[in-house]
Amino acid sequence: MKKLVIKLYSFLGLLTLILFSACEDVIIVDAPEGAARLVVEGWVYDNQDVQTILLTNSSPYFDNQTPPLETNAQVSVTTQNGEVFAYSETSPGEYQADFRGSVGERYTLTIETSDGQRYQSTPQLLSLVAPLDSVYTVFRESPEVEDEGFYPAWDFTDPEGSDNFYRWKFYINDTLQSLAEDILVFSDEFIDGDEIVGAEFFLEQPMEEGDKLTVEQLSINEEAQDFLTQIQQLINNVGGLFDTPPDPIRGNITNTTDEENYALGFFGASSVAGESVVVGE
Amino acid sequence: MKPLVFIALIYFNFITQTPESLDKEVTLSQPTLTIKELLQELDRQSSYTFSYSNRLPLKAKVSFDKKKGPIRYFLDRISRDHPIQYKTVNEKILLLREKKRAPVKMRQEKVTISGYVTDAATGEELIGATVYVQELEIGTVTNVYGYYSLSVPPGEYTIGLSYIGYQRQNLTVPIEESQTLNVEMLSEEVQLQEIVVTAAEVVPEVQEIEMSTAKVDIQTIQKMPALLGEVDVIRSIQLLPGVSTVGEGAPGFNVRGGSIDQNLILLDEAPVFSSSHLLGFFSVFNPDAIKDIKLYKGGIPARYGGRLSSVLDVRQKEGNTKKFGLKGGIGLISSRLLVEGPIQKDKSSFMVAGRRSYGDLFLRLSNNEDINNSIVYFYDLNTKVNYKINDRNRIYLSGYFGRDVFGGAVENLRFDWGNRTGTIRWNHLFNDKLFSNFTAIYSDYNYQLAFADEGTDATLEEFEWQSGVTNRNLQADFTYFPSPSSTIDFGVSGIYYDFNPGSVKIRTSDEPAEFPLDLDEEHAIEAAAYFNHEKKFGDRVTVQYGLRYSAFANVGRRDVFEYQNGNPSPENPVTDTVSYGAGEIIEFYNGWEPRFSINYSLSEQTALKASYNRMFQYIQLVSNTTAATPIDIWAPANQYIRPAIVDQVALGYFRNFRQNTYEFSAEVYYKNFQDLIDFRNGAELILNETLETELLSGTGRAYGLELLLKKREGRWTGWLSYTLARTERQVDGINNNEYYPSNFDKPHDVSLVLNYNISEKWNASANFAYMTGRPTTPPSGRFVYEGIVVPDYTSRNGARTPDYHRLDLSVNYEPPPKPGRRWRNSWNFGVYNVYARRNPYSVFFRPSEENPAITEAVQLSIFANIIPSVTYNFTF
Repeated sequence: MKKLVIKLYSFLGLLTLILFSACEDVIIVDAPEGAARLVVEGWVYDNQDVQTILLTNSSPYFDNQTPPLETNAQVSVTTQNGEVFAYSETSPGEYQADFRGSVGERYTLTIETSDGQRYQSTPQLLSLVAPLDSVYTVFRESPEVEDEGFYPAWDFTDPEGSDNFYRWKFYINDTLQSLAEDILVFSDEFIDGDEIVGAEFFLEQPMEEGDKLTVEQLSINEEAQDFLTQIQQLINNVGGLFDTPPDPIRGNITNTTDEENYALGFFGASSVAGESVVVGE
Repeated sequence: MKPLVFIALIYFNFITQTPESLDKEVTLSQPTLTIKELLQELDRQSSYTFSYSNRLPLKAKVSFDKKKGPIRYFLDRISRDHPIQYKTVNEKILLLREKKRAPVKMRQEKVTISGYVTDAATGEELIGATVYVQELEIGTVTNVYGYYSLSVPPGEYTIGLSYIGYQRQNLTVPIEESQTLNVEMLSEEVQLQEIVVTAAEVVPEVQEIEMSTAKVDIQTIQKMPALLGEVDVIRSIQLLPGVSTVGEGAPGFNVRGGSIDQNLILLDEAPVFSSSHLLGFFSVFNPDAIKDIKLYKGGIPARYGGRLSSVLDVRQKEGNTKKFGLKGGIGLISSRLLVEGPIQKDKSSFMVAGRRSYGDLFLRLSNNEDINNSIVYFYDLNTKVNYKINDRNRIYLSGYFGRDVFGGAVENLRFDWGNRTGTIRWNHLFNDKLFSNFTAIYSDYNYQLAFADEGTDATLEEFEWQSGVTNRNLQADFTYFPSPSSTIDFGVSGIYYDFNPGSVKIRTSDEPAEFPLDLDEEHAIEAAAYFNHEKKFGDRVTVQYGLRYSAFANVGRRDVFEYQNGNPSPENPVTDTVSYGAGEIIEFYNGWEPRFSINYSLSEQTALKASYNRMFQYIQLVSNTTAATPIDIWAPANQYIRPAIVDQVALGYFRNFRQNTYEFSAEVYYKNFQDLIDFRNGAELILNETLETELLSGTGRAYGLELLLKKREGRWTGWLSYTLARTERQVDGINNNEYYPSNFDKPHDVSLVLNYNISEKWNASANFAYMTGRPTTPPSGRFVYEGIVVPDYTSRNGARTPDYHRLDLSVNYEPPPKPGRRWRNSWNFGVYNVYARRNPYSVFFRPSEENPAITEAVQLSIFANIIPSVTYNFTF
């Protein structure tokens, strides 16, 4: 519904554009610069033996620099039983540890940066993901979609009784579709226990015959869903007269040395079910 | 005995003669006698002739210490003790009433003159016309129904009537007993050559108790340049000091740091919930149907309540009681037609005015399929009927119906929204000092969004969403005029509200009525009683004090959720659902709203004014977008939303120059807001059953300085205004709990409005507006997550869009009417945004289209060009 309303406004916008020759200009805005913050990106997966954490820093919005890397940090993940996996810096800002995530385990990330700040994530439960029943593609024509082509589709069955949060990742020819618009998260609030046939997603870029599609179905939690949704909102919905003022984004990493100096980003744990198909085969 | 002379007009002839001296000794027959007896004795014993008016206190007794003395001694004594002045002119001694004190000292019984002041040509009642008794130097203005009442001692008076744009009238009437005096005034339009009232003759604003108010003349608005030639009341009042908007095209207006839902917009006393068409580009008031507009920004009288920041009181025309008339216009956006006329001459009349936009007709010409299939239009219908039963009873019926319709191109969509209002009023005079008005009002605002779509598997999906608010109101208002220096208002009102936060029906061909969503309606009662007394103390001080008591009950039938810890928030789940029966009180609020104003005149041309008011607002607009949208809903105070309260103090200095041709005012104000609703981060407000979990409560403050220089008369008219103001909010959970500028905080705001009469046929107007850019929330930093550049917005409204400024020009051409023909027409040629300023409509922060790694700020300007317009108007 909200989408519809947004559509309406964009339509009105189109009208004014045509009627009054509206125009866009790049301008300089005098914006207060926020403090540089540690940015955490990392997940524990149950389908790989090497886990990776990426540490960078935030930078002023208009500086347009590549994210400064956070090097020489002490990174570790602790399980609820007290088992500790120490990460080592394999390339600047990239930390890795050799272990496989296991379903039912809770993981907590701890970071100590070289300037002595300690950060900690909330504990993340690695929950079982429902299997993918089937992955296939469907052809969509315009005007139904803007770009005619093949789009991913899949079937799955939601386990009954539990609150499940899903994320789907799409790889075309083994390349992750990584635009903000391609993030897809979903909660089973209204479909608990249902068998879903024909779930579809309109990626920004459709596929052609012969492309290889891989769909990964991930079990995430509500925190991760909120974080990923907020990223999408911050990118799509800012500054217009009929937009809500954007809110600060917070992940799940706190600073235990200095509460004000919290980190951005998210650390999560997920079980992964994946399946591939070639378009037209 | 020489004859006593009654003076009406004094004629002096200057024959030089040596006058007898006032030092001549006389001897009285007794030491105590009446003034009349004294004058008779002095008359007898001297060569003087005494001339005096029979309105002097002739029967008053005077005592003297001695019986013998010079004439001067006795005259000085009565002049000292009584409101009497004396003058010698040749052989005459003139006894005059001393100015001003006379009516106070004379303990005579008073009589009342009262009546209606109307336009001679149309019979329309004139609001705010001055009725002035020259001999007594007292006056009053007609109320919103054109009624006045004045109590005076019996006598013959010259009564002056004046009203801006009308010819002055002086009536000499003997008033021996209370009587009705209905007066018709000739407008300047009727006879252009006649002398019209100049500002100097109207009771200037500087002498009125009101401050922080603005009367907006509809004729002035009609001459001002307007966007696409569409004369717009709301856009025009945005040029007044203290009134601003979030942006061009945003609905409503902001008064002294108040959000748009804090304006009580009344159309013939019925509240109008949404004042905008086409989101916010145009307003709902058809200028042809409007007679009078008054805006209260502060010092709000006790008879108004229910909103925090302002009252915009709009009155529709009653309709010509003398003859049929037609009025209309053809513009680029819309056409208008008004029909009015008597049903029974001088007894009843009607007015019907319609307006419809036809911008969508042009869309057909577009090559874009989305555009030429679409429907975008709005219409307004204003109606009014009035009937004068007799001198003491009048009945008015008025209605407004307006709607925006939008649809077509997008998925067979139809989206429409609008207001409806209906008012029945009965004016009744209990006696000539007690005026009353009984009103029944119905008003609603609602919207509907529906579409039918071919679903993915060729199933038909139908979707229908409705929401709105309904208001039924009964009120009784009384005005009592005990004396010219005292007016008392009192009354009661009751409102019954229905709020429909939203109901959705979804039908699909395979699964009928799949998950319909029907949020519980809320119901509420708002009641109020008020008392207001305006009183003059002496020549210098006028005071108005009042008190309003308001009460609000949120009532069933409704199911109410209870939350863990009694605190609705996303973390606290619903623990219980309590059902309330029809009419059962769910929550009750009440409060006292004191109002106070004072005017201290430093001179006839200068005054200091001060005011204080407290207002309660029990219903608020739930909107978390920068500018409100048509789908925002109104929510009543309930067990989780407290009523909002504001306290405002204002101080003002008012000065008139050059016989009131120029008016200058400087005002400062401070407002403190409590319990304003705000929203949690990422709040979902639409169709949310547990809306209360998304709400936060905050406080606010607003303060500012407003300067206004206005020229009311002459070939040049217009005003220059400057506002320096701040408005800030503080909400726990937003901006680190610190104060932040509200969306409509615009520290500097300059407006210039000019109108120049080039000749009888030609007239030119110009508007210039400058204001600081609106606050916007900028990214304070950015970071990369999964390869996506993510902006981080930590400081709410921490930056501003570029400054806004714009110049508009227009020329009006009105050929003189052909003799004997009633048809008159005029042309308006306008240019909006003369120097093609690219003003910011919105500022977006986003990755560059060429290189997503580069982030930048982009300004969208919707009127980046010069926009010309032409409008043709006619009257018959």
